[in-house]
Order: sequence, then C-alpha cells, then structure tokens
Amino acid sequence: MSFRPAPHLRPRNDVPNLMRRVLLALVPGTAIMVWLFGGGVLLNILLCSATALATEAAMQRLRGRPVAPALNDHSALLAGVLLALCLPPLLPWWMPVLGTAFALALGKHVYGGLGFNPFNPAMLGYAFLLISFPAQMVLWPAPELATPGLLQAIAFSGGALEIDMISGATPLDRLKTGLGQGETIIGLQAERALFSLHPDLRWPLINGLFLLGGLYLLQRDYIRWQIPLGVLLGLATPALLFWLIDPQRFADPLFHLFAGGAMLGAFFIATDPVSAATTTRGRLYYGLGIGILVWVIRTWGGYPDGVAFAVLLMNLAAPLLDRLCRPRIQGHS
Amino acid sequence: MAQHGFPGGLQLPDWKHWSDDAPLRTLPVPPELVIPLDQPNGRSRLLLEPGDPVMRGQIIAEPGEGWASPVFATSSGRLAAVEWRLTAHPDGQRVRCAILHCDGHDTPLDSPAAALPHPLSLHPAELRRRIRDAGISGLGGAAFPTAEKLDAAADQGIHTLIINAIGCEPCITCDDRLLRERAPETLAGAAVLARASGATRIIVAIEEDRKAAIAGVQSAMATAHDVAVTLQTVPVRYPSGGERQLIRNLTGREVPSGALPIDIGFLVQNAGTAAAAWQTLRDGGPLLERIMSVTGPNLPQAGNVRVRFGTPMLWILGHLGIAWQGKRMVQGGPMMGSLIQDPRCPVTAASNCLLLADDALLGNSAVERPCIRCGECARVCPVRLLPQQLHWFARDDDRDSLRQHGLMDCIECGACAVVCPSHIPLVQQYREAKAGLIAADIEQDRARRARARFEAREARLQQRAEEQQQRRAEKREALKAAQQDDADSHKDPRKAAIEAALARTRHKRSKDAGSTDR
Repeated sequence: MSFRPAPHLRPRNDVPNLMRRVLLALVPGTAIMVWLFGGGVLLNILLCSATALATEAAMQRLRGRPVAPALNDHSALLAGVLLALCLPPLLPWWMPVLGTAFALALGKHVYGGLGFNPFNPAMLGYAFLLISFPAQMVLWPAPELATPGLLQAIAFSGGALEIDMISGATPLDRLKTGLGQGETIIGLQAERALFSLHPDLRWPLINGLFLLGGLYLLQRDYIRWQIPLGVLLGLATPALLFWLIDPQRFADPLFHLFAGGAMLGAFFIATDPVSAATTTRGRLYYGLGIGILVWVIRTWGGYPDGVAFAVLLMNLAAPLLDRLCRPRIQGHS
Repeated sequence: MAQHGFPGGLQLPDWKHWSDDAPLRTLPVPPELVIPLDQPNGRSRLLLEPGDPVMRGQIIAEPGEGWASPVFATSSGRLAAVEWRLTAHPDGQRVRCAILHCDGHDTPLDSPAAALPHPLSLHPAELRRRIRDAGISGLGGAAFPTAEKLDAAADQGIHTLIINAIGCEPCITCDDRLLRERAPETLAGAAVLARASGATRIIVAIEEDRKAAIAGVQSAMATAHDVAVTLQTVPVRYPSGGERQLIRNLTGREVPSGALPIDIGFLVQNAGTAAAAWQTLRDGGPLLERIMSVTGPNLPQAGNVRVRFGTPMLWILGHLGIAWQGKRMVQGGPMMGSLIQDPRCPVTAASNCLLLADDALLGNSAVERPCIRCGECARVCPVRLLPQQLHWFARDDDRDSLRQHGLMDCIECGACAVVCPSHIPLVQQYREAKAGLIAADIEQDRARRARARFEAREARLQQRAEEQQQRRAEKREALKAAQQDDADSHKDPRKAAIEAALARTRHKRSKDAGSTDR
C-alpha cells in the first residue's frame, strides 16, 4: 500500500476543466463576431489554435518535457483563441501564425511554460503583431464587404493586397482620428447616426456577449470578481470624470465599457491568473490599473485600444502588488 | 449567540449520515491487543517483562521522555512480546508496542484507583493528579496528555474552558453520537475539567446541523446543577473545529502566532475527553477505551463503537464483517487523517474514526500540474496565508521568505490542497518545508554554541600564553636584578644563588596558590 499524506479527499477542480469553462464562456461573443465580421474570425481562431498547439508541442519536446499533459491542459488552446479574438479578421494567414508562435514560444515557454510566464502570452503576441504590422492590425472590415472570396484573397495574398478600401474603422478608431482632427463627440455621434444602426451596435453587442460569458464564469467561481470589477471601474471612473468635465472632448463611460476589447479584456484576458496579481487586494488594484491604463491609452495614447499594453504593463507590477497586499496572517499583529 | 467567524474555510461534503444513525455498540475484547509504548508526543518505560501476566487496568509502562501518559493493559492476559509495529501515526514509522495475549476473562486489577462518586469535591491539584494517573489523553485526534494541558492552564490562569464537539471533518461522528447518548456525562466531565484547570466559564461548541446532539446537550443543561455552561452553535464550515479557528469564531479573539490558547485564557478540550475524564474518575481505574466511528460509503455496518485501546483495526473489520480488501483505510477524517498502511495497526487515543473508501472518494492520483496562481488556496486558508506563494518559496527553499510568509503558522488543515486545480500536494510540501526550517533552527543553534565554545577556548589559550609570557618576563627581571645586586654588592655568589632560588620558589608558590583559587 502506498504511503500518501493527508488530505485524502479528491480535489474538486482541475486546470483542464478551468480552461474548458473559459473557452465555453467565450462562445457567445465569438459567435456574434463571426456573424458580424464573417469567416475571417473563424479562420483566425483556426490558425491561432493550430499554431498554439503545434508550438506548445514543439516547445515541450525541445524542453524535454512530456507533450500530452501540456496539450491536455488546454492552456495553449485558450491563449491561441484569445489572441485570435483580438486580431482583425482580414489578415494574411501568416500574421496570426507568427503572432501565436511568438506568444507561445517567447511569451510562455522560454520562461518555463505554464505557470511561469510573467506576461500574458496572448497579449504579448498581440503587442508583437501590433508593433510589427501597425497598418493591418487596426483595420476591421465593414461587415457588408467581408465576403468569403475576398477573405481568401486577402488571407492568402501574403499581405500584398491593398485592403484599405474594404475595411471600415471601428468606433474607437473614428473617435481617435475624429477627435484628432478637431471634431467633437456630438459631431461624431451625428455622423455615426447617419450610418445604418448596424455598425454602431456591433461593438456594444460583442462586448455585451463577452460580459455574459464573464458573468457565467463569475457565477460558477471559475474567476473571482476582483480583477474584472477593477478593470471596469478603472476604465469607467476616469471616463466619467472627464466626460462630466468636458463631454465635447471625452467619450462617456458607457461607450468606453462597451467599446473595443473592454469586456473581453476585463473578464478573459486580465483574469489570466498566471500573469496577474494573486492576492485578493492585489487583484483589485491590478484590475484598476489595467482599467485606468486602457482609458489613458485610448484617450491620449498612440493606439485606438490599449487593453494589450495595459495588461502587459500591469503584469510587470503584479509581483510588487502581491508584496504590498499581503493579508495579515491570523495571530500576527 | 453572535458568531465572529474565521477567515477562509470551505464547505465540504458531509458524509456524516453514513454513521450517525446507528446507536453506540460496545465491541468485545479481541484475543490480541497491540498497545503502543511510544506515543505521538513522548515515550514510556516498560515496567514488565515479556511473559508476565497482566490484569485489566494494570500499568505496564510509565511516562519516560517527552509528554507521555502512563500505559495500561486494557484487558487481562499475558504480555507476550514487545515488537516494533506500524501504527496509524502520520509519520509512518514503526513504534514499540506491547503485544498482549488476552485470556478472555477481562479480570480487573485487585486495587484499582478508588471510585469517586463526587469528583467535583476534590481539590483541583488532586483532580489533575488523578487525571494524569488515569492516563487520559485528548481524544480529538492529537492524543496529547490531558493533565499536561490542565497543569499548564492552572499555572497560567485561564477563564474559559471550551468543549469542542465540532466534527468539522467529513465522516467523523464519534462526538455527535457521544452527545446524543451521553450529554450528561460530557457536561459533568466538562465541569471536572473546568475545576481542574481553574476555568470559570464553559462553552460547549457544536455545529448547527447536529440537531440531535444539540437537543441532548440542551436537556442535559436543563437538569445540570452547578456549572455555568453555555451552548454555542457554529455554521458548518471546515475547519471550524480547529482550536484557533474555534476560539476566533466563538469569541473574536486571535491566539497570537507561536502562543497557545491558554496564553489568552482559553483551554480547549474535546467532548470525548471530557466524558472520558468523568467516567474514569467516577468509576475508578484508568482510561481503557474510546468511541470510534467506523464508516465509509455503502457500508451497512457503519456506526460508532466503544473499543478498547490496542484493538487491531483488522480484528474490528473482521468482527463487524466488513470487506476491506481493495479499499483505502484512513484513521481520522479525509482531510487530516492518516492513511493506514498496515490494517493490523491498533486503536489508540487518536483513533476517532476508521474510514474505508475506494479511489473514487479518496483518490488524488491525478497528475500534478504547475501552479497557475489561481489563488483559490488563499481564499480558503483559515490562517490567511498565501499558500500559492509558500509553494514557490518552498520549491526554491527560500527559508527567509517562508518564515516571513508565516509557514510556521500553517495548521495543515488541507483546505488549500483540496481546492488546488493543479493537484499540488501542498500540505506535504509545507510539512517538509517546516521540518527544514526547524532543522535549520537547530543547526543554527548548534553552530552558535559551537562558535561560542571555540571562542571561549581561544580566549583561554590566549590568556594562558599571556600569563606564561608575563611569568618569563618577571623571571628575567628577577634574574637581572639579582645579577645587578651581585655585581653591586660583590656578595657571595652561592648566597646570591640561594636567594634567587628562594625568590623563584616564593614566586611560583604565590602563582600556584592564585591558580588553584580560580
């Protein structure tokens, strides 16, 4: 009979199940993105997932570690899917592949694989692509133009095709360029009203469905509330303040909460436990930091959305936050 | 009564219904008893030779090193041998055991300790002495000699005795059953322990879902006489029965790190211990048995049994007709119990439960994965430690950080390990790290002492060398002076030599006298 110390009770959860639930919670938001932006989203998911799994397997092999358990924990798959959901759907095929391979190899395995990476691998991959290919990375297609044939033409053209003409700006892009050119929010909103209702509601709809998935994870205790609430508060509070001061120059908090990657970031990306703060209070501050940085980058930064950079910056701060937020041990003063 | 709560904790499956329905049964005496001479906290000295006849209640070993209780023969027969046997103690080592072959007559010793109809009339010190002589140890699982705790409490002065009837672990129902059937004895025992320890207040703590036990205590309180007892129920949450968690939950006070409950005026005793104290004092003679839950899923024989110390688990299973092959056996609950490696191991004071289950319930053979810092362990930690951080520090053998993060405050309740999605054996890791810290402390202490010894020796040697040098210098001076005298006065050289020799002897004598004085 083997000797084994207490506790003997079977653990109630496991990492693969955790990852599966997060993947499941992504389904509604992903489905609506596919519906709105066409097959490009699916193609990205496919490319990124396949690359993620292949890279994970290759790296495990290179490091002399067993391959099957690493693939079975679904963490690579999740990182691939998260990165895919951040990418615009009209990219040449090698960009998602390159970004994912970078994320897994240099964002995860050089540090020692699952559990050891200081940065969120998906966001590292995204930042890498954004810095390397800034033009392609900010272009989201106008849905009516994203026909399957065109998608293939772009995906397999190797990036040579001029794609400006078939893509439309996201509301965050419009806000950024419009305000940059001296337009006002009211003017931009009036212009937006001239569009069909459809494109305007796209991002709020997507964000709403990711929020739904996030609430499911919260309700089932797969994630805890500190990080998502921190992110949303951190984003909404400065937005509200500045909007109250000057509604002509600053977008309202609701717009911020339901634009771009806000909900995906708050519930699915910032909550990656490996690279986040791990103390309860530290997580709240970590979330707040991300929210505030997202707002700052959106408002004054060089990029229309700032989730990736906000997460990476706060990844750097996580160990410090954990040091500062240690709870008082029972019986200590 | 108001609850103050305690941090962390978690809901565990209950599984008390497996064994809490059946009334207490008394098991007969087995043909062979295995009585450990070495206890978890101390060792004892054997007083008999193998082959000697023994009577029930006869002392066979007296306390030796550490905190040990006297050891008694729990039935009559013959001391057959002393063997090294495996017990259910978590360190998994063999201990010296007296093997008794019973004659089946269960003959009591001629002159057992006198029965006491009114133990409460005794002086507290006399009560403590009787409790010590009766070999009573804590029956909650740690098996610490009760008299030691009572002595410390009486020395230090305490105000409150807490009777812990909380079986916060799944499966264990021995205290529940005890209070259902023997609440009056338990309360009387609590009064005895309170008098012996100097406590003026008694709190009986029960989990709020143990309705029948609560009713038992309430009716016993209604008929009870002179003791100020309050009953407090606590919500069902593991580990509410931990000493520190219980005090915090009942009173809002925290036992300081490194201190004991008696340091803040509380003494916690298990309900079974209280009942045992009462019974042994009232009836005379030592403590020979305890109540143990025998339980497991789909076990029709499950229930609570009164069983003599030293009864082999294997014999109990055979007697009850329980098929144990292919099942895991745990002494205690699934959270803090110890896996039984040898089914022949005996019932001891620590045996509150014998749990039989298969891998579906008790298996944790799933693959261990790297920590993902999900923090669930920190959520459930009742001490507010950061188990995920301790895990990293333990891996790195970073002793300073382990200390800073309170490793030594860990109560090893296992809550963190049960919620860990990576299935990391955290408690095992902490236990090893703790042993490492303690060993490092001892090593450091040893090194410090060795260094002090070395420095003292160096100083001694140096002093001796200086003295020698000084002596030589004086000698040279004296010789020089003598030669000078000689040259000056043109004395007789023989006389001068004699004088010089006398001076030397005088000098040496005074030196010697000085050194023997020292």
